[in-house]
Amino acid sequence: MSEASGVADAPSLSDRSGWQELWRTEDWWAVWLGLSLTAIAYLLFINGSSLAWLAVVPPKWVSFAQLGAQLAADAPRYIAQYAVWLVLFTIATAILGFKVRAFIPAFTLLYAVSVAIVAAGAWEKSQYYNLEPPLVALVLGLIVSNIFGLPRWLDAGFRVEFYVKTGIVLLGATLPFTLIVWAGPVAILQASIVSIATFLVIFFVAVKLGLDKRLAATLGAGGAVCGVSAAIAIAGAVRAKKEYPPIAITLVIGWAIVMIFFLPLVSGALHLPAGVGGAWIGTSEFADAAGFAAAQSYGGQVGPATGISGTPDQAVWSYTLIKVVGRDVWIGIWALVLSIISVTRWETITKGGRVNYGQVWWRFPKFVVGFLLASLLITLVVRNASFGDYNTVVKPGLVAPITSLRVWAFTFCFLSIGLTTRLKDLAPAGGKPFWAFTAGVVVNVIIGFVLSVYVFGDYWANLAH
Amino acid sequence: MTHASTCGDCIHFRNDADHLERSFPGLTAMSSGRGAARAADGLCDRHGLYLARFAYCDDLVRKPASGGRQ
Repeated sequence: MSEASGVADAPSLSDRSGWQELWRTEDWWAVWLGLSLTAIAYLLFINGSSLAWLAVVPPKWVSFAQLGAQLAADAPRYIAQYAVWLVLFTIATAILGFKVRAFIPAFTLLYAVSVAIVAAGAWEKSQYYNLEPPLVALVLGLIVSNIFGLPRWLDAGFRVEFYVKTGIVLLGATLPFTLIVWAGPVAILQASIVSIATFLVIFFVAVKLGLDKRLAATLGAGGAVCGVSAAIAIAGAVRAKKEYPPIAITLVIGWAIVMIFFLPLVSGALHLPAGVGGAWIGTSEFADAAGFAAAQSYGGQVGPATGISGTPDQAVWSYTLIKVVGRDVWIGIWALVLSIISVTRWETITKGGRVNYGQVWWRFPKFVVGFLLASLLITLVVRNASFGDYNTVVKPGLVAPITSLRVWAFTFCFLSIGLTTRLKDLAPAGGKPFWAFTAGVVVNVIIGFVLSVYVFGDYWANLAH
Repeated sequence: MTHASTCGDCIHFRNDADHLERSFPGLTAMSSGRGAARAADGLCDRHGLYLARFAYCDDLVRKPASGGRQ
């Protein structure tokens, strides 16, 4: 047991390809939690009740006195919500190998600060001062972890990936399945063009600079597919040196944080519609969690004051379609192709000449299954509702509470990114990997912009209209 | 000493999530050692590689039946 990291006996992954995967990966736990909350919301709804009481968020406020009064009045709801999150996440993380006595205080701190962040975002002038909760959470977390520091055992409660995956499953419940079917092919086409171009640029620049092909592939996947998760998946598939993944991690984190601020800033300056900005972020951001921070932030800027048209949902939906449906789900295919090339073309100490095709499923981001099922479930539920009934009954009674829970899950995620990004811990990347990756970033951002704004701009601007 | 058939059975191979998250600084900031994407990949202490559990080489040594490292 490592007390320093708050980890108990982490489950062995040596035989994770069987049924054990259902309770030993964060992906499946995100599916169970997200679908359970969605099912409970549905059951309450059809019985004339709602999850709205539990899914409380701070309403708009203009003065601290008003905010204080609102928080005091809703205190029982916040306490109940905290308790529900705590129980659900504690059970899951305990089975995933974290110590309960480390997780509980860590999550308590996370929830308390998240309440303050979401409340700050509900201030009537928050948009004017650009106090978007995702950006506030990220910056606050970075300051705390890099200037003041927190005990490392608290990391047990700062599980970025777990929270973002849970949020994505909940997001599925608010995204019409028909929209996924309608927009999915375009998302896959746009994402595939950019992913392949970005990978090839990083790979060939890296090789041209004299880097090992395995490092080149690891860097390429990190920039082209789904960030750090793709980098380590491909590193394993191509049998990289153990020094390679940390290099890719450093570069992905660095550029992902830059893009969290850069993409919404430029999108806003150009007054891109919410759906278009979200599509660009989905195409050109590197990690799911970072991208959701950028997309939610951009969606939060929608309004006459900023000149950004559309709805906040459009930014998050177009981002999700391109990033999750267009890029993430293909990680197994990338791993398979690159493992074949690695085994057959690149010299290695190890052998393992038999390429394992099962990895296409093993590496598949299983939370996407929950995302699709949640979307399908809610779409079937509301299929016979009229537009009027949807807006007056279904939306406030069923969809809005799930959306609120998603906001909380993502806020936990954004704050955890900052709290776990300790810049001094990151491995030095080196000049050549930096320039190779940066070349891919430049190409990725430019092609992503052209496709999102000029080629498919009308499509994304009118998403779900 | 007996031969293992793949890295997953080898004493030099470690793929528990905690070990991986400590070995790769920054991994948990935007990913995880407990995610599906990495499958059951792990670190080979013998050759300094990060690789799938179904790889193999000439230096494989089977783990003890119990009490071995994972």
